[in-house]
Amino acid sequence: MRVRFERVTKRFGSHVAADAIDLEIDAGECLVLVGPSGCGKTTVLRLLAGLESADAGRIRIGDRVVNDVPPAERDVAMVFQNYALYPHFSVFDNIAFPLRTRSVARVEIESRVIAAARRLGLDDLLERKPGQLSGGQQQRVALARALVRSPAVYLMDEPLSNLDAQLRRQMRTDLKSLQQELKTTMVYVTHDQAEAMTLGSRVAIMQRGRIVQTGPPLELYRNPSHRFVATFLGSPAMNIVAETPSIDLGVRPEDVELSRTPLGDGWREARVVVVEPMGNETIATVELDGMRVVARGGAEPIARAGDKVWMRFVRERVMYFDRVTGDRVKGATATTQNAVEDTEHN
Amino acid sequence: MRRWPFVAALAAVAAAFVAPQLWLLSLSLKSKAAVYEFPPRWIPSHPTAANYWFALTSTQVPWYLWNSVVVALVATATTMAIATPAAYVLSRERFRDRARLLAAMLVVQMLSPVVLLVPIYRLVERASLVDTRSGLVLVYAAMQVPFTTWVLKNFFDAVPRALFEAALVDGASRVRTLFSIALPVASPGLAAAAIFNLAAYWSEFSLALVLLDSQERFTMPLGLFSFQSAYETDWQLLAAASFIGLVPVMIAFVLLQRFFVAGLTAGAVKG
Repeated sequence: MRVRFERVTKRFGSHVAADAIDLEIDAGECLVLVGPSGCGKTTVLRLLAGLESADAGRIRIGDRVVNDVPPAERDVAMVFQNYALYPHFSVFDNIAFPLRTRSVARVEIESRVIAAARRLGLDDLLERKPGQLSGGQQQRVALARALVRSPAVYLMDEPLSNLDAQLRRQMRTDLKSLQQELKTTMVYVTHDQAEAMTLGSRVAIMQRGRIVQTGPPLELYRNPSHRFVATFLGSPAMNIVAETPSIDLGVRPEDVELSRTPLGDGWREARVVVVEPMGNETIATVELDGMRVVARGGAEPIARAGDKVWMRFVRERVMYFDRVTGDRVKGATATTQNAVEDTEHN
Repeated sequence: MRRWPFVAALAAVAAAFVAPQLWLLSLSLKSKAAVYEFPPRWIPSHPTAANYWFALTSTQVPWYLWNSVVVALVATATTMAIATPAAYVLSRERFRDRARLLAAMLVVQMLSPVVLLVPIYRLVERASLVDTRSGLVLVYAAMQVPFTTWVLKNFFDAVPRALFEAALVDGASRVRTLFSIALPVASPGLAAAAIFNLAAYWSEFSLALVLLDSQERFTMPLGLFSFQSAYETDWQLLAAASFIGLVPVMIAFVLLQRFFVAGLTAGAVKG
């Protein structure tokens, strides 16, 4: 089902948590709302769930304006950050609860719960209480409880943030394949840029109650409209260095080239500060003229800490941003012969 | 380490509570002559169950016991039935004058029922409920509802908000959320409040004294009081009757204790 936010605003006292949000989510797509904590992404999700009511604007699910529709009648299912499992119910009863409240026939409940449990590998745990499950299992029960209903929209509020790194990585993949299989609209909230990049068919990046930019993840990564988007996506983050007094230059670590020898014009001498070999790649932090730049290189480190190296930015990949507003400045490249040369003048 | 002063202090406090009961038990097992023995003995030389037998067969103690059980149970059930939904709404919903209502309930609690004895008597009299157990039950419930509501509200407040939100999204009605989610999760709190009420009603004296006239409707405290006049100084009998009166409280506590298991909400929410 298609979802639309039309200039939706939510205030908590004097704090504007969601500021005139305009957002369209196509049927069957997975939209990821991402941003630092307190940016309003969870508020947007809760507005859609009906757990908060909008102060202004309209929220539509399908063709229906749902501003005054209670959560139960919005046909949405939500997975909470801390799972919110009913502690006194067994896994079976937890998953069955949304069906029982809707007076589904007993036989059908049984078959649907078992189907949802099987899909998430919970078949053997149906009799257990949430307290007897591991974090990962609890998380899957929470997913199964959402899944069992086949709702119009899935709402995910940082569902993986309480899992350890390895499990989180695996669940991310599982969730993506699940979403592709179900083809149900999903709104996914996270502060993790990697989850945003991998899960979203589109990503909306939020800051201070506003959506800064919306688009397919790679599009945002390659063509950010704002310094905030540029630095938020990607790990290690984009390097930002002063270009002119009013313009910042941004270059991604993979667009910083290092060499043991000068290869010609534009290569500047720098000193290696830290080398982090990751196995498949190497992250090197180099220093030149008192500014630090992070570079991403091949599996084999080419230098050690303290070494002298030669560095240059891949010129056509460099971006410019207004120092004050953070907005992307196009065409700044035209006035610049060489990025590194200019940074040196600052 | 420095544990022994702590242990000693605990032992002293425990002794202060247990010693009178042990003395009561000791008295109840003595013959009339042994009661006045000097120096007094903690352990009777010829313990006898005769006092218990007499209290249970030849006095009105069984009646008193029955009245107390009925009054305490019905009053507790009434109190919980009124206070639970009230506390739930006060905890979960936001409405006009909610804060004032909460404050008012606390203020009302500060008035001693004894101060209100006369107006209460008038009210009960007008309802033609003087010298009935129903009258006593209603007055008891009215006395404890505000406090119980406060206690229960705090327990409902402690239930993770996400559980209620999950229930809301899962399509549960307010009533269903109360019975399926809130009550089971807050059950340790409910048990605590119920025990507190039971104990208060079981030992209540002054209201019962004012509102009950007939011996056959007396509750245990009134009955014991009348014992003193009727049997004058039969302390061993009074002790036995008093001890009989303690037993139901102990049973209730043991039965309800299992609800006090720690960590009932374990596994509800993570983080």
